[in-house]
Amino acid sequence: MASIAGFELDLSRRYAPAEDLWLTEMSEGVVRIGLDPLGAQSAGDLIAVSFAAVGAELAAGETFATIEAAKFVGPLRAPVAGAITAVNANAWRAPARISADPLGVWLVELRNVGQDALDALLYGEPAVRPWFESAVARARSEGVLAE
Amino acid sequence: MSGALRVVDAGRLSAVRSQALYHGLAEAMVRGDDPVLAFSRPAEPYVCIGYHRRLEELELDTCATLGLPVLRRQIGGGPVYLDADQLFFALALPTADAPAGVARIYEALLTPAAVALRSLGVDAALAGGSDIVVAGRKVSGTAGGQIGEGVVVVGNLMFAFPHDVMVSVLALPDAAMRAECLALMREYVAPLPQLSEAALKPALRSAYARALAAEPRAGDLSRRERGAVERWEARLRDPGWTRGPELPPLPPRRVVKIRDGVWCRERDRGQLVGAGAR
Repeated sequence: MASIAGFELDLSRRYAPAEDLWLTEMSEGVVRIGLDPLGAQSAGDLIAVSFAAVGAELAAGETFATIEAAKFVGPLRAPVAGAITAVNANAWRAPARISADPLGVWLVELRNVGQDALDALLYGEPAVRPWFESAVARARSEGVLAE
Repeated sequence: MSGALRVVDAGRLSAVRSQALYHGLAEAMVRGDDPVLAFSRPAEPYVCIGYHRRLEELELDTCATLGLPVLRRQIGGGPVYLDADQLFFALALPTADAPAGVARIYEALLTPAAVALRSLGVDAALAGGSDIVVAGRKVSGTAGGQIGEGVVVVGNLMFAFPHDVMVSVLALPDAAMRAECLALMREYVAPLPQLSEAALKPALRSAYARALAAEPRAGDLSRRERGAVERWEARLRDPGWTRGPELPPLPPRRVVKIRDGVWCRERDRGQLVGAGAR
């Protein structure tokens, strides 16, 4: 874990900046996906999450989950293509846990994820730190996060 | 002015079209589109339930007896009773142009509605993030969402409101909680009978145009938007859609939100909880 701009990030994971998601590789071609700490803060306190069906084949950019906070419903979109093999029932039953511990609560597991797609994500401190510092600075300047 | 605000006055619409309208507008949005402010009034009463709410929260037999269709929307919030005594407004814009963060989206896209009411002499303010209140009473139900590449925030302004009908369509455990809910709803949810659609629409149009620094222009739906609205009509009529996503069981104790900070709870019914408390 590393402290970056006031948040703890796990640098053994990959990050998808456009979607504010993290990915961790469970085995070859199998990843778990969760919300990164900035995405969790921007969304606010989650009160519900629903998932696409287990078995669904997703293209990159397709919705794998739908979240709700403060009467606002929005999609979470897969940063990589893959088939959903599992969804996290604990997150489904208690979505507040996602807000409280975004790195500790995975949302879905995908298989058949291509290595090229994973390699296109941010990985390692030299890539993750400048992106995250910049994203947090922007969020603070826009008032999304407290200064 | 940096751009245009297209204002679509859709008039009186069927229940399903009054919901499909803003879903379609948002879904049809692409990067670079102008924002759209849409007005409509439902021609018939119905009940509308938020995307992540359960049909078990409703007395479906009562809805059927009263002839109230039940429609599920792709935006948030709880069950609401809607009818022709309400003016709907919806502001849709490309996701890329929406503020980041839910709180800022509501602040940017609902404050103009409060400003419009103030211009008409109603001392309205945004409270608790997304409620529009006057003297502590909620005067507009609001919600929002991202649909496709569009963000939409919607609200209703009530000229009259049958609190008893609203409470009758809620599934509640006993008569005592039903009476408590009705009392709290009468106390904290208020129509604005002194206002008219004719006064509200130009006030909203001006307030949103100023807030978005855009020139308001009357317009109609594009072909792409009409197609999206029609697809949403079909989806909203689909019983599978109405059943909703798979959700965990209801909590053991029934809780009904009256307005931000005011809840009716099954056991400690009627207790007021501090603003923002959950």
